[in-house]
Amino acid sequence: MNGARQRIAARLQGITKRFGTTVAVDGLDLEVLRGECLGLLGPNGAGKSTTITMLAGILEPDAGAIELSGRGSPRLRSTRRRIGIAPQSLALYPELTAVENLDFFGRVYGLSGPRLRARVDAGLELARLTESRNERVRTFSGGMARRLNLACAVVHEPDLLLADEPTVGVDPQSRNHLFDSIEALLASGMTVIYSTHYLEEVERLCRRAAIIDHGRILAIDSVSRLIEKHGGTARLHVQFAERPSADLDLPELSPDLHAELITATPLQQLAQWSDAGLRFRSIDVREPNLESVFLNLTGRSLRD
Amino acid sequence: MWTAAHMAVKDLRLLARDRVALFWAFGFPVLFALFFGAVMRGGVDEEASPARLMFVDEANTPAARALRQRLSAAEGVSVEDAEFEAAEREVRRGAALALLRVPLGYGAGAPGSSAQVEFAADPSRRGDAELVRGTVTPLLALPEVAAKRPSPLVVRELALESAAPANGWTLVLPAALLWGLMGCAAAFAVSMVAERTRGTLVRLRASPIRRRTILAGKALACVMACVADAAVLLVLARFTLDVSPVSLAGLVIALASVVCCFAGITMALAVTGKTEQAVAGAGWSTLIVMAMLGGGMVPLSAMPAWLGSVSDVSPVKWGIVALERAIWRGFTWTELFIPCAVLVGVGAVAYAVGAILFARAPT
Repeated sequence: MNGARQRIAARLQGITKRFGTTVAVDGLDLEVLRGECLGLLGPNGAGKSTTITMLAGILEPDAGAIELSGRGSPRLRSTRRRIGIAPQSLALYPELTAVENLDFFGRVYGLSGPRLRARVDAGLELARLTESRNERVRTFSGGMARRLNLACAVVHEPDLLLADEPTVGVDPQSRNHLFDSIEALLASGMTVIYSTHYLEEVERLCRRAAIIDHGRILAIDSVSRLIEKHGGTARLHVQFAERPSADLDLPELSPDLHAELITATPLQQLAQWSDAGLRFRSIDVREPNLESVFLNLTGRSLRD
Repeated sequence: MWTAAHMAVKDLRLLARDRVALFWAFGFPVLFALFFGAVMRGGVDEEASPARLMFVDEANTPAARALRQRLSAAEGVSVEDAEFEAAEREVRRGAALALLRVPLGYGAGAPGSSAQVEFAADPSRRGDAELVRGTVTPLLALPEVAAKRPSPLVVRELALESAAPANGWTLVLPAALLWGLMGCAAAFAVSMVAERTRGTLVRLRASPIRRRTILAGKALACVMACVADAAVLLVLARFTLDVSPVSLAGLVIALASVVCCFAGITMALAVTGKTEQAVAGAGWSTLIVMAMLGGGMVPLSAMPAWLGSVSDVSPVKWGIVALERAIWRGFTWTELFIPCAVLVGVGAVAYAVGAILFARAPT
């Protein structure tokens, strides 16, 4: 029991948050394990940012309790010292340089002297901004600013990083840089809660994912088990090169010879058709993924 | 404490990097101060409400009482009885335009032997004083004497204890400083909401620093900028306009009080709005109303009597009073303490209101 407690980095029990008559988070229960990257996957307005904001100690839940790393509520200053947040909107001073931003946020967390200088250098390296260290943030590209936004969140070496849609508006190269950075942080033992509505980010970074919608967690498990349990069956789309003979058992064909088949064994099916002498113009096998998990759980797409 | 200092340094650095903001915080207030200084310089002698004349009756004779009645009936003069010391203090503070001292023996002896009536006026309002003197002088002649020959009575200047202002700029420097400090403080009113709009407030709120430390950092930056602003104006005044304060220590205390007051008011304004436009609008509107009521735009002496008494609610009035005393009127420490205490009190209350509002504000 005690060992299990030590493995838990954050525990949310029955968290509820209302804004007027809107229930943003509705009795949410969640446990985050130490050293893992937990994905919070849900569409805009699902309650991800509100949950992150409560985890950061900025908002107080109307009901329920949050405990972090056995240190207590994130409303406590001593607990907040061990949390880093990369907010969804950039939280930087555009007129300050990269170094000055890191230096300031390091000081806010009580760093000083050689340790501060070392952490600033580490932050620049993490963000791959060492060469641009003395340039003002307003001259940075969106990707550079996003990377600095993440570096500022971890300049004080927190135990828990709250990353709220950290890749919004960045190019693919910078997105990969951010992924590399987060993977490096995970390798160092940091716990990461990663909020996003991009399923590919969760699939790349997160061992576990929580599907969240309307302020509730609909399912939480490893990505593979979520897909296995809620992803449904693969979809096979083929376009035949010529009209098959009528005595073959085929799904309904469109006039341009397209067919769609829902099957757990798409490759076997293709092999059977091929053995029967059928030739294909195109083949598309759509394996279940987190998108289909979300679709099956909520009846709507992540981008609705 | 150190965190607040780091926050203040960061805000000043941000200010220094933003040329437009720098102009509005430093350049504009100085220009504003000089402009209003020049305007006020030409306007301080204007008079709208009756001039307050302190009547010091040391003779206590029928003639002196008759003079009091004649003065009361005169237009443009509001007569009040006072002891000499109190009357002198009122004039020296600028609360009364002039005093008229009727000495022992007035109207008691033979014509021509009466003691001379003494007249002393606020040196900053010589024009007004001359008008009042013109009104008063004909009334001084004893009727029975005036019927026989020209009045032997002579009105003479009474040297007040304080030094008269060296030049016109000395007179307007208090208002100029006030305008400069108000402009600088107003520039800082938006800094809190700017933290919100650029997203950094979320990061600050998630950090272990307290909300009151965030506010204290903002206030400290505002104070430091205001001090720099005042220093620029004072150096300018000293070396180009030949203005030197009667008491440097008094000026430091008065300025510190004014800065505390406006930093506190600014912090209260800073947390009230959700957008920079809203806070900037509220900031300037509030400060301009304060300036109008407090004599920062129109001299208090030119205001109707009822508005003059309303001006007590404006910190600008107390700021001008404190600065005038420190710069050229002269003061006792008690006289300086009262306006400074009002200013510090207003600043402290405003800051406390700001801190409470900020503590209760949603993210």
